[in-house]
Amino acid sequence: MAFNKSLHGSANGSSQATRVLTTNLRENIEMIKKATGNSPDIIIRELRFEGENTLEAALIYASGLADIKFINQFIMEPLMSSQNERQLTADKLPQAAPLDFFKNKLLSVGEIQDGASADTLLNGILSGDTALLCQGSDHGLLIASKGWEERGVQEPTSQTVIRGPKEGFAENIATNIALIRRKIKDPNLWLEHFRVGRVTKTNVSIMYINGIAMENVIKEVRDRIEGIQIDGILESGYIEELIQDKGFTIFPTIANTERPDVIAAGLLEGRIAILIDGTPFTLLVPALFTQFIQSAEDYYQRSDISTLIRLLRYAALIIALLAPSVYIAVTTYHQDLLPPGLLISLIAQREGIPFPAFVEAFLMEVTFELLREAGVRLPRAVGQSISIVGALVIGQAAVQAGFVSAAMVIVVSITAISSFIIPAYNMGIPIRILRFGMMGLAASFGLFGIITGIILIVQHLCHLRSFGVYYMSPYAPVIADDKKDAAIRVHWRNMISRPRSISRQNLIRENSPQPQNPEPKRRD
Amino acid sequence: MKRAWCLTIISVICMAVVAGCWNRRELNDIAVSVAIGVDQRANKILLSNQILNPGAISGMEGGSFAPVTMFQETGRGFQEAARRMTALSTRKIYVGQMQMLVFGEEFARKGISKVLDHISRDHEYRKDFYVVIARGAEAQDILQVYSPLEKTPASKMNASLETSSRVWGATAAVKINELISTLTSKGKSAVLTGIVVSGDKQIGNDKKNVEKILSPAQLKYSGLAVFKKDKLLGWLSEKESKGYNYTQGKIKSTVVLASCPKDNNKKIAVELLGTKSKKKVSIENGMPVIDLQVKTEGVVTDAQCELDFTKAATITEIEHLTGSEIKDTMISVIKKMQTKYKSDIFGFGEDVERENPRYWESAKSDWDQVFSTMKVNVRVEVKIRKMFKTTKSLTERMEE
Repeated sequence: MAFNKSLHGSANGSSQATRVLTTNLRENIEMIKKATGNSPDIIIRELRFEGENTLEAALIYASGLADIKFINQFIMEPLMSSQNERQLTADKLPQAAPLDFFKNKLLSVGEIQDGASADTLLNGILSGDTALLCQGSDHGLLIASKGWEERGVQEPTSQTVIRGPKEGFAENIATNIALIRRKIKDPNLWLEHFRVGRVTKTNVSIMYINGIAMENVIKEVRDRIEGIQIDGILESGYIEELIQDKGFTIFPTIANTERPDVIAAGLLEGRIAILIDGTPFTLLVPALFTQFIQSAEDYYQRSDISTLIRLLRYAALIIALLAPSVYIAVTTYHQDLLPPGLLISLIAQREGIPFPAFVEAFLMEVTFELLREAGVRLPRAVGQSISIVGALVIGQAAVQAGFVSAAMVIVVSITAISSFIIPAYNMGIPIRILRFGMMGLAASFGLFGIITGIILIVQHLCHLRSFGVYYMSPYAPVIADDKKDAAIRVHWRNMISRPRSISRQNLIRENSPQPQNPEPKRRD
Repeated sequence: MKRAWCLTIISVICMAVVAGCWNRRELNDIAVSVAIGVDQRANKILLSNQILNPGAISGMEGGSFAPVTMFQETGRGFQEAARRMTALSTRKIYVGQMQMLVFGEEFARKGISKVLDHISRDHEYRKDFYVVIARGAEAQDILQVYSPLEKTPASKMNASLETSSRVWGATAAVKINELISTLTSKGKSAVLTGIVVSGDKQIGNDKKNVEKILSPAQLKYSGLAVFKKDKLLGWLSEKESKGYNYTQGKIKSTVVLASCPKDNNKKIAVELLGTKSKKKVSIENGMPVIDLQVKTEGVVTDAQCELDFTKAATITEIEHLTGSEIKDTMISVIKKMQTKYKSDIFGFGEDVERENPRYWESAKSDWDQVFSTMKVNVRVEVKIRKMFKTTKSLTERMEE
């Protein structure tokens, strides 16, 4: 990738140049100009404090990243107005440490850091802070002035619910942290900051509840994030692939979500959230297989409804994985399994179809995957026409032309609908891939091949782990208590303990008294 | 890890190469056989195979084709004839969906076991199709009759055999696995239902047959064929067939017609709702005695005579009448088997074996003789529960 290479190259070049702050303001400004390649968006505002001893200073910030109004009001104005009123003259300035005077007396800003080195200052400026340099000082001040245009908190588009909070994460990591803090107001909600990426220097934070999350898992996450050596992190997907457990798998072992409520629920269960600046998708570890079949709404609707819907999702998972392969196996190997009436109508539909059942199914599935991918990438206005073309092509024309049988169209449609029921998009993908493998097995070995395929998949799933937690728990290994929130979701009153597979400390989560039913008042 | 992957990949490739696609056949590459008929042709057998024509059945090819087609071939053995048939058929004949097996009467009289061995041995045959005998006809005639309501003659035969054995009780729905286990048993002989073409056989094999309201040729079940070992001996009448089913407790529902107490020309009908039969074996003077007890419940559904069902005595009387009617039916068939055919179709031998194995060892070699002289006591208990909507019969109400 040319894009990555160029980033890499520039990073190497700049790191070779030695950057040192001197007491000479001119030299410092030149150094910064040189480091940023004279980029015009780096604004350098020079100030002069007249008096017996003239003091020169400079404000440096990146336009677009720093909030101009804020700089004008809270940095420029105190400096300038005090000068006009002759309150601040150079002679009044302490010659020794003018920056300390600015910081302690003059600037009405909350967050001010000492920028001791040139790199700190540059990092600060490029993150939206304002640097204040003075003639005669070999360090600068870094005044927090971040403020740029961004997307606000909106409804998440990837995981919608009917009942439940409608807010979703935004791109700004500070906003996202605040969204979680708003849900969990406990001092034990701890946050750790990391900067990842040699060039992008992306802010990455991990959040967990101290006392619930397991220490060894936190340490593991910390170590894995610190171990990342890469030029840039642009999305949580980078982190996900770089920190996931060793070993090849097509199943996701790290969950991601746009929803603060899902993260809050995960934290309460002892999981660890990984927030990445610049993306609304936040990671949650450790992740279990069952988690990908669950939706946030399962916990907001009544338990009986949620349980039935969860069972429906498991059924959908099985249909999405197996429907075409079972159809192939039964119609090409096990015709005796079909009731006579059904067999007759299937045979009649297949009369004159030029392809074997496997090729027919394969073509239809590939057509469907094409349509689906086209639908995701296309602009919304064109998406409509794609679905019309798709419905006509696979629904009608293919059957009428005699390329595929109507039964196959039904099977493919059922499969498609079922695959959309899986709530996590990243769990839907392995199912889509495996479906083709199962179809191949069914075409060459019949039901025997399907069973073999299922055994292999289950074996693979059982050997997976996510941050030291067995992926298939609470089923393999069996953790009886955790089954209350896996394929079913029990009443909140029975959710007494946190999932044991995730955390083994501070287990009790619920202990409410049973409400007493008051007797209805009798009419006398 | 690498080793494991290599082994997996190698084993998958081996599986695909060694076993892959064995026995694979597309739906449109098979000719689905729904009924097979077997007839005698000198010392060869004539095999008639009724094959589905799916296009015609599902209505995709209009009405120009018959719903089924028939292939015929002769051979010295069943499979030889079946394989020779592929010279006629464009597709491989698939028998996994077979519904009916029909034997011609002539063939059945010479023994059916030479065909059954292949059917019970081959893995492709199901074990749940029915076996019937073409009574006084050839199996190929039965398989060439257009039938109304059902789309194929095979499903017509299948459905009406099931229905009649459920609600009338004069047929025996015998599946192939049941037939084979009866044939191999020493203490029981087989029975199979007979089927006839009533009406004009020639029109049967013509679409005109189903274009008329009253089809000129119809397939109809008629009586039970009695076997000794694998050879057909003779036929039971409708009444006797019912009697046989009473002894087996196989009557799920039927109608018993009894004469009115005062007037023999008028009849009263009782619908039976399930029967239970119990057999008890005892040995008296070195001879087995069977106590056959039948318990049944019924409903009065049709009364031509003047009766007042509000009186308990009337009900008792009807219970008695119905009971003796059933008893007569049963005794008639037992007598006929003991005297005329000397073949134990009731399975009394099996009961004796179960009850008194030591005695059975001494008697089994000469069982038919013992069977024809043994004593069989029949007891019938009938309970009438309901009269449905009216308590008094219409004749009774007209006189009031």
